[in-house]
Amino acid sequence: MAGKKVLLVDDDADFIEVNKIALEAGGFEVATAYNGKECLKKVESEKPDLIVLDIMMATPGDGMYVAQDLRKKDDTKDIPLIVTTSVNQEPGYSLGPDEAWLPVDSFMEKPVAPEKLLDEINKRIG
Amino acid sequence: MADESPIRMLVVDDEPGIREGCRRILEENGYEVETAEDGRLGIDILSKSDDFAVILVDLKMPRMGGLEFIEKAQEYGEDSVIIVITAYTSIQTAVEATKRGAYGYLPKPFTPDELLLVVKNGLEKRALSLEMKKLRMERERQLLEVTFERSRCATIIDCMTDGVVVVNCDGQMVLRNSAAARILPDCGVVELPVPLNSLSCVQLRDVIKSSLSESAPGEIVSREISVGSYTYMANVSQVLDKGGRALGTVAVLRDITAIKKLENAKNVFVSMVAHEVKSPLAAIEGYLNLLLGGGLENDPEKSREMLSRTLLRAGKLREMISELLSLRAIETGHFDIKRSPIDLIRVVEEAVQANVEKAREQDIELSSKLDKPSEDAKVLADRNAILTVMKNLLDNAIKYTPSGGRVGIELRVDDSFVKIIVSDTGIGIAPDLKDKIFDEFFRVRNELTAHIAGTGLGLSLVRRLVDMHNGRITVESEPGKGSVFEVKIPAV
Repeated sequence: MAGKKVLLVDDDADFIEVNKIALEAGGFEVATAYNGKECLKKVESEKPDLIVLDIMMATPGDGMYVAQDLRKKDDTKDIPLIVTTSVNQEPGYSLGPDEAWLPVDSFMEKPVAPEKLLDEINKRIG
Repeated sequence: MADESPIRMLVVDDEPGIREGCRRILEENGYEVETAEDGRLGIDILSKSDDFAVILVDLKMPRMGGLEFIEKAQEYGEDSVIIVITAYTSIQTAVEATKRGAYGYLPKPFTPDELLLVVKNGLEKRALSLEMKKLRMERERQLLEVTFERSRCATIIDCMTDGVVVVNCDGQMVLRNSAAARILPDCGVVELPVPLNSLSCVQLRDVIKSSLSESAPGEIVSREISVGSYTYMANVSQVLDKGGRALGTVAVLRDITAIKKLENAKNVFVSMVAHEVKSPLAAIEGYLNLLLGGGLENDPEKSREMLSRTLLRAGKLREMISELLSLRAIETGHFDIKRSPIDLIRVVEEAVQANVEKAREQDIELSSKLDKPSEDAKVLADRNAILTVMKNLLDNAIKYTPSGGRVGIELRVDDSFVKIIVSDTGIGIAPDLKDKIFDEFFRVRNELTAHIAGTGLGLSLVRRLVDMHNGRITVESEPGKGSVFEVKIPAV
């Protein structure tokens, strides 16, 4: 648990702020990114131990492609991925941890209570 | 044969005795008689009036004999019954006369009774012919009517825009119109009847089958069916005969593809609104939970910051709802703009006043430039709408300009147009996003904008309001340098 780094990716600054405070209080180091592009950059530079990613950012589906990208690359495919979203079902595609093309470790529906997020992260890398 | 007018008869004979004899006998019996002494004169009479019921004609006459007369007489009065009277009887002449159109034969000499009998028979035969003719014409007319009616119905059904498919109790498709042939391509070319199961659209087959077997008379079964990329509503009901027995079913297919698309768009929109509402609420709840959770008493600055953010997000949520309602009102036509001559300079001043505090907080220089005196800067418009346009544009400019920057609003008036120009030295807009920023809920998302709270609806509303005044809004921008928004409204 000590010294583990979490990358928070979300286009809402307050979401980042609220959860950053909670995670830092829980003993984690927190890096942040506000969109998919920045996420990939920060994964490279910060080398997080876990990534929390919002599935529907600027463009619907933005987060999905980032998740797929991460899974494709050797150095990132094993980083635990927690995906957050405001909707459980979107027209055209449904999301769930078992979808073969969206391999995520867990799937959390917003609003995410910071304590729950902390629990989930501890489960994976705590 | 209840005729008002007396029955007319023609006697064609070269012997005066016969002519007058027949005339006397027939006139005594109520018939009207005309005579002619040879065939030629007889034809002359016929050509003038051809409504003789019976024509008595001699065979041997000068100028034109009986046989020639009979032949020529066919052109006239087809309802006339021709009786040959002659002393020279033979099978041959009888046959010849009949061939030419004679009905009967009366050999001379004859008694008055014999004459009257033959005439009476002739008249009866004539009556029957006329009756038959009448019936035949009536039947033809009715047939024509039915054919016309049937063909009219068939034409109407075939011209319907909805597809019509009829299936009988044996599961055979017995009728399909052109629309159905277009909708269900595999049933278009085959010759009817075909078994229902030959239709490749399973959904339609099923709903027809269930209607055939389970429906009550008068019950309509409706089901959405999809064929390719189209969606149809199939309304199926039984076809009943006069006794109420089912003869089969009729399915009417209505294209609802456009309606479904609209439904889907609405669902997507609702999802987007839900998403947009959840974010500010999550932020508000998040901050309040953190504050209530304790641990921040030692950091009043941080607490204050969090409370400010909470208030900001709550305010934005309220704004969003209000903008959403305005946009919907505009869309559904419930938004009335009241046009009146407005003093633009006053409106600019008010819009600037509404943003002065915000600008000060962010250390931004807010200025206005008005190139015309008050009286010239008038336009026929809805004051609230124009005020909202200006306030929103200024608000955006300030939001997206970093500390120390400048925001300006300028008013230019000429004979035809009024221009409202809002410029800033802010972060600018990427060229590929210049159109998207007017889309509902769209916000530019990057490191520079993540802290900026917005509804994503401000510019959508501005554009709608400008549209309603028959104006146009354009934007020029250079990322990193700034942006210029120009609203152009016709002055009249």
